[in-house]
Amino acid sequence: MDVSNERCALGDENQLVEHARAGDTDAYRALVRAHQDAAVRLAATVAGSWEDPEAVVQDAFVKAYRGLHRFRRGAAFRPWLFAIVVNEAHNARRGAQRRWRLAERVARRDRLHGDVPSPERDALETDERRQLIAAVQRLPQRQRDAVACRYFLELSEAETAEVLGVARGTVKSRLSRGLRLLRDDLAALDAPTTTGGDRR
Amino acid sequence: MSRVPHRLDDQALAAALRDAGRTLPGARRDVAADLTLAAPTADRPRRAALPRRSLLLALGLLLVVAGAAVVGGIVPGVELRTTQRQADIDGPPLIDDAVFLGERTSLAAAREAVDFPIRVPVLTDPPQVHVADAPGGHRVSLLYPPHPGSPRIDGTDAGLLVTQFRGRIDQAALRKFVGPDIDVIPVDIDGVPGWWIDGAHEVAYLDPAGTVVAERVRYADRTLLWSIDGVTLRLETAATRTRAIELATSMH
Repeated sequence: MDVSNERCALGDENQLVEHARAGDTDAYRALVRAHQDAAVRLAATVAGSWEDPEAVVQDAFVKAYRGLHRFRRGAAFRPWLFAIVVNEAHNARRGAQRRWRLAERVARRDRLHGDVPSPERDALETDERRQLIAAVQRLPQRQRDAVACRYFLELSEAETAEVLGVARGTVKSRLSRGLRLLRDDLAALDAPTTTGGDRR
Repeated sequence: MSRVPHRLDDQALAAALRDAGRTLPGARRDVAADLTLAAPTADRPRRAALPRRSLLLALGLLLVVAGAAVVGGIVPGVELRTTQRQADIDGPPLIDDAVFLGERTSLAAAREAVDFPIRVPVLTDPPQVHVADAPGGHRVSLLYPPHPGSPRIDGTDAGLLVTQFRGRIDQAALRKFVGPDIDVIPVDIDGVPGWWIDGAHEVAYLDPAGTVVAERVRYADRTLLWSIDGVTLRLETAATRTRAIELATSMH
């Protein structure tokens, strides 16, 4: 990538941040619009298939706006924003899982609104890529977040560390464990006499 | 589909993940355009939430003198806490359910907007206040962080949720939605009859027009329900029934 272009882009982004902090909502929209596709892909992976990722990202962007006064001038905006998206996606997933668990306990089908997603259905995805994505969505939170940032969003190790608020070494070990768990999960699916395993 | 992901080494699996990741769709709508953005903290002109009456009289002069510096309710030179600090309005919501909760606001603003008296439990922490439109008026939600006696409600960051709105509780409708496997226990809240719902459920209300209004899919766990002067109150908690009744009784 042309370094001078990148520097220009960063300069523009810093300007947008300053305008947004001063109350320019259009500047803020422009600022986050540049990241919304990636944010949605991140939210879709972290929150899992139970939640509408656009809604998660929308909530995150509103929170980020309210928290702009906390953003350090001159710092990189993207990892700061993505950290808020990840947090929001965690909340969404917890909320959705709670609904799912309560729905199971109560077990009244007439009370459920529409199609309730099931982890089992994910395992039946025949397309390999979608199967891989579903497997990532089943990973434990820490590994899922790391894999989503590093491989789905293709952030650098350093940026992943910033988004997750951990050391680079921690990112490395979470990725390593994540890959191992993915292999185990997918092997279980492939095996002829598998029950799929219980991830909860 | 000849490649089997679980037989790939780290490098190859990483490549497969990147490949799969690229098939993830981006935003299906322009999220940035749909944002509802209030002016950011620093620039938003804010009327200070009013302190309680006796304090206001004593400090009337001070408030006038302090002028714009009273933003946020902290009068410089005087350690005064008003009922709603600036920071409380801007912190993250304790329950993520914007559709049910509605707009975040201050208690003072809610009192002005709503046409019934808002009852508040006696607790140290100030509440997060939300106001939503409900059939026949408004629905006010007060959220409190977890505190001793009121542990965190599972799936939220709140220790207590108190909802108020115009409407009456129809016992038959209540029964129908709660179901036979959950205890609905009649209780007494300082002379006012109410119900303690001892498990996960959806609650149905009747609005002033008499229409059944079912909650959206946000299952409540334990809830105390009662009604005063045509206003239904709902207290959702992970605490004991005794504690819930205590809190409900303290509300004024």
